[in-house]
Amino acid sequence: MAVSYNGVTKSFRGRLVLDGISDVVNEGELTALLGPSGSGKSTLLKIIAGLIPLDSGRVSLAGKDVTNTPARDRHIGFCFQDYAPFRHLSLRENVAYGLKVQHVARAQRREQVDELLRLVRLEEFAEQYPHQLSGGQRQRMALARALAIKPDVLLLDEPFAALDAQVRAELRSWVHSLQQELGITTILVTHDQVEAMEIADRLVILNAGKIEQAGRPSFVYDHPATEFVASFLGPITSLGGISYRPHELELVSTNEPGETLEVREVVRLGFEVRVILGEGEGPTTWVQLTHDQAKHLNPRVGERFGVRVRSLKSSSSQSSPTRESTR
Amino acid sequence: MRPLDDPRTYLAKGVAIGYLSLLVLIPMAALLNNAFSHGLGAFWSAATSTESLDALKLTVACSLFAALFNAAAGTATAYVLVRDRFLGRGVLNAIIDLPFALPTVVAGVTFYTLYGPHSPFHLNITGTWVGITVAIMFVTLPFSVRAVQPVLESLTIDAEDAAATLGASPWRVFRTVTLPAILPSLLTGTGLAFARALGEYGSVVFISNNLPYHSEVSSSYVYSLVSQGNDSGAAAVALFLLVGALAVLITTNVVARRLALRRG
Repeated sequence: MAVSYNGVTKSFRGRLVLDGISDVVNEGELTALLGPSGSGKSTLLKIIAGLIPLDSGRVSLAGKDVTNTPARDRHIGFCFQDYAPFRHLSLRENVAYGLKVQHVARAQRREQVDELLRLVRLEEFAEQYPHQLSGGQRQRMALARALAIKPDVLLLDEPFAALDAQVRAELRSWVHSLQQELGITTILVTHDQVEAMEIADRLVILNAGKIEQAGRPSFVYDHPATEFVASFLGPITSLGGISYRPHELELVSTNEPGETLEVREVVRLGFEVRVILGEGEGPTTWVQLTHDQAKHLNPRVGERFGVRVRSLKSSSSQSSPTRESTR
Repeated sequence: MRPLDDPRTYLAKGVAIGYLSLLVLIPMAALLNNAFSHGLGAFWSAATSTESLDALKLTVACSLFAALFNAAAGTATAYVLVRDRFLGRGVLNAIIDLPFALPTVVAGVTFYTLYGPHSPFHLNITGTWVGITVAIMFVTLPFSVRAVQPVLESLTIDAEDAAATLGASPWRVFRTVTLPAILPSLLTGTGLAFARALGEYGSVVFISNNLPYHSEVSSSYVYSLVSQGNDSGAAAVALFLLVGALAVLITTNVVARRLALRRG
C-alpha cells in the first residue's frame, strides 16, 4: 500500500522538527529515511503511524487521507527502536497480542502465531519471556508481533541500532529478504548510510527537518544534490578546489602531466589503503587505493605522486566531479 | 579478601541488628510479653471481646476501602504527574507528600472542622465509616502515589504505543500493558497503605466520635484500654492488629516479588 505525506510540519516546544516535508512511498518499496540524529526522521515515522499528532500537513495510505485516524485504526506495523516488548507476556503472547485484539479464535490464533514464530525462527523460544531473549531475538519478536496483524505498511525505527555488528549485518539482510518475500511497503529509519544503501530501494535523506534529497541509493550516492548529502553518504575530499569521492582519484607517476603532491600519511585498512597527500600548508587530498593498487605503487611518506581523476577506462566508477566546491 | 571477611561488613551488620533491636524487636517483645502476661485465656478474651471485634471489623473495613480507593486514585494521580505537563505540576508533586509531614492530629482537627457538626459545607460525616475512611485515605495517599510513580516514569511509552498500533483501544492499552507493568509496585503500595491505615489514630480520632461498638476504631480502643489501666488488654488488641498488618505486608511483598521475577 502506497504511503504519502504532504507538507508535514511538527514543532516540539517551539523547536521546528519537521518543516513542511512531502514524499510518496510506492507500494512494495523499502524506503530508508536517512539522517543524523535530531533530523526528525523518527518523528516523521511516528506521525505516519499516528502515534504523534502533526501541526499541519496530511498523511495518506493508498490515497485515503488518514491524518485524523488514530494509530489503532491505521493498520500499520511498527517496530520500535527498543523493541518495546510487553514484559509481562511470553514471546507467544506478545506475538498474539494483535490477533487477540482482533478477536481471532483461539485455535486459529495459535496456528497463526506458530507460523509467525517459524517465519522469524523463534519457535523454540515461544514460552520464554522478553528478558530471557537476546537483542536480536527481541528484534525478531517485535517484527513478528507487528506482522501478526498483516499490516499494509511496516515502519521500522532504527531496527538494528542496538545490536552488535555481526548480528546487525545478519538481521539486516534477513529483514531485507523477508520484506521482498512479503512485498510489504516498508519505511525504515536509520542514521547508518551503509545500512540504508544496502537494503533500501529508495533513500530519503533528512536534515534539520527537511528532505535534502530522495532517490535510488546509487543515484543519490553518485549525484548528491547538496554538500550535506555528499558528505553524509560517504567521505569526500578535494583536489584543486573541486570535491571528489576519495576512490575517484588515483596516483600516477610524477612524469605524467598535471599536479604533483607529497605523501603525508599512508593508512592501511585491510583491503583499502588511504593515502593522504598535500603541498606545503595547502589543503590535503585523500586518495583511496585498493590493496593491490597500493602494493603496485608502494607509496611512502615523503614521496611525490601525480594525483588525477580516475579515467573511465581504468575504473568503473564515474569520473565527473561529484560537485563544484563552494570554496 | 572476600567481602564477607571485611571487618566493615561485620560492623555494618552489627549496627543494623542493634538498631533494629532497639527500635523494633525489643518493643515487639515487650508487647508480646504484655499481651500474654495474664495467660493465653486472658489474651484471647481481651482480643475477642465484642467491643474489640467491632472495632477491628470497622478498622479493617475502612482501611481496606481506603487502600483500594487510593490504589485507583493514587494510580490516576501518579499517571497524571508522570505523563501530563501542566502548570503547577511541580507544586502538586510536592503536595502529595504533605500527609507524611503534617501531624496526623492536625489533619484530624482539619477534617473535623470541614466535615464535622460545624461544617461550612453542611456536610457532617462524623461518627460514620465514611468519615473514618476519608481521614485514612488522606493519610495513606502518599504510599499509593509514590509506589507507582517511579515505575510509570521508567515505563517507556513505546510499549503502550506498540499496543495502539496493534489495534488496542486506550482502555485496553491501560488494562493489558500499563496496569500489568505497575501491578507489583501497586500491590506493595496498597499493602503499605493498608498496614498503615490499621494503626491510624490521630487523623481518625476526632471525626469518628469514638462510639464503642459503633464508630470506634481499634487504635482508639487500645488508647481507651490504656487510659483505663488495662495494659495487657491493650497489648492483646494491639498484637491482633500487628499480626494482621504483618500478614498483609508479607503477602503483598511475596506476590509482588513473584510478579516482578517472572518478567526479569
